[in-house]
Amino acid sequence: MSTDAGTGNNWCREHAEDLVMYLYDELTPHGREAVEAHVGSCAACREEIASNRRALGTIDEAHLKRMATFGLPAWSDVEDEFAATLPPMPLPVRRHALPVFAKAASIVLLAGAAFVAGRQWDSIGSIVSNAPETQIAARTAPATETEMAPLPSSATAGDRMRAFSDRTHNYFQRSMLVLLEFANADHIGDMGMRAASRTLLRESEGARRVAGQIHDERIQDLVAELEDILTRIASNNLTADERSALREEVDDLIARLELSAPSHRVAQGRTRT
Amino acid sequence: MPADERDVLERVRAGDIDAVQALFEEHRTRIYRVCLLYTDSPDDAKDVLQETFMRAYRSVGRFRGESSFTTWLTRIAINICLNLRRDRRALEPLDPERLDDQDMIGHQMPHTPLGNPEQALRTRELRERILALVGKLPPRERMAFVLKHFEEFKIREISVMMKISEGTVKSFLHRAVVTLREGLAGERESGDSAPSLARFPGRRGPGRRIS
Repeated sequence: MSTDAGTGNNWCREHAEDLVMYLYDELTPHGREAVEAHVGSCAACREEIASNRRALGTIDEAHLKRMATFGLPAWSDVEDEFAATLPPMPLPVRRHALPVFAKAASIVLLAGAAFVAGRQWDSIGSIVSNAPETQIAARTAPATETEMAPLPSSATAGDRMRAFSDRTHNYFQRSMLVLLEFANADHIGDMGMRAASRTLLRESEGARRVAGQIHDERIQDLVAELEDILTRIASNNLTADERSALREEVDDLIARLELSAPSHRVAQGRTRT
Repeated sequence: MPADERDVLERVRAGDIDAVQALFEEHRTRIYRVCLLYTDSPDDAKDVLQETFMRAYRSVGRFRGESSFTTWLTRIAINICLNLRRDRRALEPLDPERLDDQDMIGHQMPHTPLGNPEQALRTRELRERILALVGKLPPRERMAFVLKHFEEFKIREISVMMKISEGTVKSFLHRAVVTLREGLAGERESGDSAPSLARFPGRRGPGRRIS
């Protein structure tokens, strides 16, 4: 079999991410040139790439992708069961999609995700709930205490987004931390998470007021949706099914925020060597 | 979003079962393949596929097209797969015998270039070995590898689907590749205790609690 164990510990760990990108041909031309320049003078990395490539080639020889449609059900296999359990017609889609708000909130998401990526937390509770009340109040002052000057009638959607983002930045940043925590929690019995949600709910009136001042129905919709989700996370009497359904909603909310600005991924802010 | 897909989604939102079928036909192969390679269980893969479409139907009213429908649907399937593993982590190990040739013939598998019987046997043994090695990868590392290597999604897409940073995806992929490489080379016959050579310095995973 044409595989080997590679070069052991000699290759350059600082190039690990680039080597993966190179292996899967996802580097920019500039990045590719940089890797090739490095491996041209680094035998260990050169062999690391070569041995990994040989391993993937061996995996490809097994034709697993084609085999993996074994047992693929046809519609007729699932139709009856599907139709029998099909839920009532879903709620009509809200016509006011949220691209503007999503862009604003994605900034918040990035801050939260960067927090995660930076391993700066162990528990959401220690970040949000256990903070001194005075500190929390100070954080939320812009969203809850400061009246906003009316936006001019000529304000664009982008202007409204920026105004809203500026005024509610901390609220949404911490909300996203809760959402991310909940989306990945094994259970909802985390007292810190519930306490964090309750803290945020006390601030949601301010976020609603800001949204009202901005006169953007899309933003108001999302604030209401977020508040509803936080309310349910704060509850400690959810059934397993309710938790499962809520996790889906949280996933959906995070996805809409996250997907709105894919070019601003957290990883792009990483320090690469 | 393609106009025809938008039309189908509108019909799904209106409760049109034929539109649900159209979506199922369009996406079932890819979703099922991800699930099967992840779970190595046709039964589980079928269950996940069905549940994926059930959940998609229930929440399609909230799908606003910020991502592709493929990304959105795959994300649902991933969540179900990861939860499946979370629920069943203590259960049986993967069974590489399930994808044997006899079963595949019975299910009208696509033509495979297995050549002569000896080659077919070697390929089968290799497949079983790879499945066993893939099955030993940590759940999210395994999912990242399946999405990248078999489904050929971009790292950026995988990060969105799995709600992790691109750096974490790369970390997962590198560890998976090296683990598989070492396994194929026979250096890690037990595969359950030796640390991977590819652990990134200073990294301890994404800091989440799923896997």
